Amino acid sequence: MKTRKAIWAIAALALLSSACATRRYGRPIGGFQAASAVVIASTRQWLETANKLERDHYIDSQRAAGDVIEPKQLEEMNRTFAAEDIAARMQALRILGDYGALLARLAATEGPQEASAAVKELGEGVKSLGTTATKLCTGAGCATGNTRFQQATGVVAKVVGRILEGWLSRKAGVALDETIVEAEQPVSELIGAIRQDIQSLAERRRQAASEQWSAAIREFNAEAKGKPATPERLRVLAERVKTQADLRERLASDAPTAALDAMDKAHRALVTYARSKKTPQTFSQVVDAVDAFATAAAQAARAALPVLERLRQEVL
Amino acid sequence: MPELSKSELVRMLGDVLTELDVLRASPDIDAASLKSLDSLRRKLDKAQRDLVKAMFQENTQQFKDSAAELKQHNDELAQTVDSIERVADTIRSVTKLVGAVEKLVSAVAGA
Repeated sequence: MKTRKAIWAIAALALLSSACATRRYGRPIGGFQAASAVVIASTRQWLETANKLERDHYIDSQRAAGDVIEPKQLEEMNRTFAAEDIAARMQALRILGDYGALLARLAATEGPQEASAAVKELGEGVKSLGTTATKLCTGAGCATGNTRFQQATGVVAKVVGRILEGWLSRKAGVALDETIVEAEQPVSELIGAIRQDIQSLAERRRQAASEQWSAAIREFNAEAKGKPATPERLRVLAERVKTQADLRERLASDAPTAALDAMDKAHRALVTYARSKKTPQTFSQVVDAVDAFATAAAQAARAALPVLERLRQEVL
Repeated sequence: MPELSKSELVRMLGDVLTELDVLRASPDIDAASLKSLDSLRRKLDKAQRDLVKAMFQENTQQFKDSAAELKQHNDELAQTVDSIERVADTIRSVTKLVGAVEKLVSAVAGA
């Protein structure tokens, strides 16, 4: 009897510990998933507008130089980045988003708590069944099936043991630890590849904005040198120079590269936490890394491309 | 001299392009110099675009490989989440079964 009580106590403690482990994960994983969704959305925008940038840059350059627009060249610019290359990245971003969402789902699953109550109920049922079975008459003259019933209750107890064992082996905390550790390499590689792409696209944006800034200044200077310069026209052109200067300045901090770096660091911190003994110190480290990621993601969201587009429209 | 990575080269070309733009915006520049600078800029712009395009194409396989590997983890994780969510239901079903067996046993014991 004592042994049975001890088994139930161990099972209950293990379940409680499993539930606590997943609850501890809730905050960092929830934060990681939310910030990832923001960075992924921002990165998608950059990829979706990659060809538009080249196309617009060509048109703007032709306008600044007073040259004709060659439709063939315009089409070539529009196909700078192949549709299948963009699609591969979009798919990778979707999978990265799914990964974050699955982690959050696992961390928030009510399975452990619900199961804890259900397991307790099951244990009481088995105990009661065992008590009832012992009352069965098994001696001579009793139904022979009674002995089989008594034996059957033993089998049920074993089945219960197996269910508990199966449940405990799949407990959410362990699943989270294993998943995060195993996904370290592909997640890190994906983030690295995305970062390189965004950095390259940011360079293309930087040079395009620089050329527009230069063209705006030249237009202003040409007007200022004109005899006589028109004050109203000069005012309009001065506004264009200011807007282009703003755009040029903003571009340096607009790319989500810092957010992608923070995402990589946050995921590495999750990996370290998954491998650790889950002390308050390791928990604090992962929370700090995820908080830093959330801040970087919020900054990337604020620097969303629609703002740039609006500014650009004001110039035209 | 350390070898430049492709990313560093893209960045370096960007720096040169922005410097050219500063020169081209100068009010003192003569028409002939401006024409030469315009031509140089177009060539460097094309070189940077082609380099970025090539890097993009090279990276695509990396994306496919890493995404496929991560998808496999996602599939396994989804199964784990499902199985964990199913465990509570399974235990509840077994509890009902035990209850039914107990009723049966009680009936036999009382008979």
